[in-house]
Amino acid sequence: MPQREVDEMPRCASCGILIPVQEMVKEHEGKPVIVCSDKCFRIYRTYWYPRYGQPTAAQGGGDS
Amino acid sequence: MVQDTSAKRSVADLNIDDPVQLEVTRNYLIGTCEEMGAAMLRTSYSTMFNEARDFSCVVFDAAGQMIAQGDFCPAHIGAIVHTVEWAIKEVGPENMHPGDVILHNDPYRGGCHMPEFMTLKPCFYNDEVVAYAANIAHMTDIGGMVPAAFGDTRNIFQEGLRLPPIKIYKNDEPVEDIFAIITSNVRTPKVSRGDLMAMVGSTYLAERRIVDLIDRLGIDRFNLLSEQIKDVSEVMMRQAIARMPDGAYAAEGIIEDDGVLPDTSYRFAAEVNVRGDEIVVDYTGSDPQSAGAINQSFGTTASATYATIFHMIPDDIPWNHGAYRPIAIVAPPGTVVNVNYPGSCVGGNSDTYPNTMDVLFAAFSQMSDRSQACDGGTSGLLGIYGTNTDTGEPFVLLHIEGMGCGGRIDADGNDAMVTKNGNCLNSPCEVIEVRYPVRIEEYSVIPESTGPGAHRGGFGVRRIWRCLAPITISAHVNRTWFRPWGLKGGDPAGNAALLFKPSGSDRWLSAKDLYDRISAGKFSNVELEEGDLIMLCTPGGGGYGAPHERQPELVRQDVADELIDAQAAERTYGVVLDDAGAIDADATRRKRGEMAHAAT
Repeated sequence: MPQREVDEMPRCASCGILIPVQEMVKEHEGKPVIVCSDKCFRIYRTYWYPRYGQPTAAQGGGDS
Repeated sequence: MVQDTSAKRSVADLNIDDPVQLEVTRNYLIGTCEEMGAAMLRTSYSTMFNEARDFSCVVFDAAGQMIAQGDFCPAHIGAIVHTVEWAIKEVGPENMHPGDVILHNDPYRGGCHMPEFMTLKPCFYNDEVVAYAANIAHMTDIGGMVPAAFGDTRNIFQEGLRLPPIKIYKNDEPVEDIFAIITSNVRTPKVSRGDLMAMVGSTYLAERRIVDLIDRLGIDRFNLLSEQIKDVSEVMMRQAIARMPDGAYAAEGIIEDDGVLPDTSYRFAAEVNVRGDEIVVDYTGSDPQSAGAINQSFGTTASATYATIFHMIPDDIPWNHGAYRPIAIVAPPGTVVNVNYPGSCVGGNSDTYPNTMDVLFAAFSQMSDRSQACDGGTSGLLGIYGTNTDTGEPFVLLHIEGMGCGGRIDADGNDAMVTKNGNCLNSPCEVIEVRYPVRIEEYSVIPESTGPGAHRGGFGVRRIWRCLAPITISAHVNRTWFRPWGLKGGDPAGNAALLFKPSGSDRWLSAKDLYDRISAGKFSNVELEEGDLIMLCTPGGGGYGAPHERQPELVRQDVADELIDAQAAERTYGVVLDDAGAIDADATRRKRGEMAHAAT
């Protein structure tokens, strides 16, 4: 059953959806990136990052 | 840039061994969804279900991916691909048991907005989850500060009861504690319970149909066919997108008035990026989220995106998870297209959604003739709360009103249609009058509401209500400031108005002027007395193409149908009619020549 309240959920760095559970933490350009799916990680690498650069933590960037 | 995002380039590459069985199975599952809907229609209590048909039914496979949907509400179906996925992950398939039904309405967990309740039933075969049956339906009242939820809410708590995925059925028995919490927090407990049971019942029906199907096919064959159903749609969708010209197509729109801050509007920005056989729709540049209810949840924005793209695809593609795979969305958090908790978003799914579609249509119009001019863009929502004078019981009526659709390359816009996101019906006057203490004194199209064009927009409507008892009214009406735009030289349409005339008064005035509300279109809890009148005028649709290029015969027919008068025919369309109503060809040619010259 629900594990986290919405204010505790991360956002996908690519699409922006709140991720209730099972977020993926991928590494890109040496930094952690939180995404909701492999598809979104591909979009992040091929579209989001080349256009906008490193996301903030609120946008799914890692806390490091 | 063409990206090889799929190894499957054609349907032939999929090596479908039995295409006939595949089609029969696919249509059986769609039929199951339609049957679920019929069950809900016949067993529900509220007019939102059994008149407006504001619900949708779907079937997902064991992987949590949609394999069938019926012709229901695009707003629901686009969001439910996310709602079901996250509900399954959050509850966990290992925690689901035969006889469970899960309930969910959280817009931050992939949902569209809180009135859209979802029930989800894991379907078991030999003690294994083999599929999921789900539906989303619009519950008329969900508690909160506004009857029917739509008004000037400022946060999610004011909108009503928010439920993360929880079980409302276990072992085929209702979890009465959950039902008690829900019915204790809404204004119409009997209606709400009746509608919820209709939702639950339809999922049971679907489970029986799926078990019957697997009895015939075997589970391995069912699973293989489910994969093929999705793969065929994905391949067809990618082929359709690949035929679009690569590029970035940007457009902007304005959503007016959040009902909370006076005279405030918000910018929506969208860029459609066609990249080979996939599309990325990027909403970066949209304004920060509003203080009121016009924000969209991610589910709503995703749903509007899918619905628009599906409108742009000419192919007859089976709509299921596979068709969604080539679409990606970028919706920056904390903006009007992806609200942050605890921002209000109930209006996002009703009135902002069609405006988002219109912005996307404007973007697509740069590379496709399938786009259309701007719709009337409002659901014209009136929430009416009171006591039924016959039964003494409280009622909540949420009324959806039709508006005009935008003109398009091959046709005029439809008249008096509920917005595309809902695909709902309005409630007949007779049904409203039988069930509620009101009388409909006028229901008509508004001749001056259309946006002129070679293909004109559809007509908006005017409805006048008379209160037969004291009622409380709330509203969420859009496009009272900004007119629906035309496309390719078409003219804008007329906008919306919501006015009141108290008993004994001879003047129509807005809620802003009469009841000291911040907004004329988005407000909560105005008290009306017996004899008071309400008038809602909805916008028309924008025109497509220059008005002086409209076929003269179509203009003559509009005059004959009393939709426009002869003066407007000449002034707006350059069509001159004689005293008998026939086209004066020479005068029309001269008039149109002058108009074309003036336009260059």
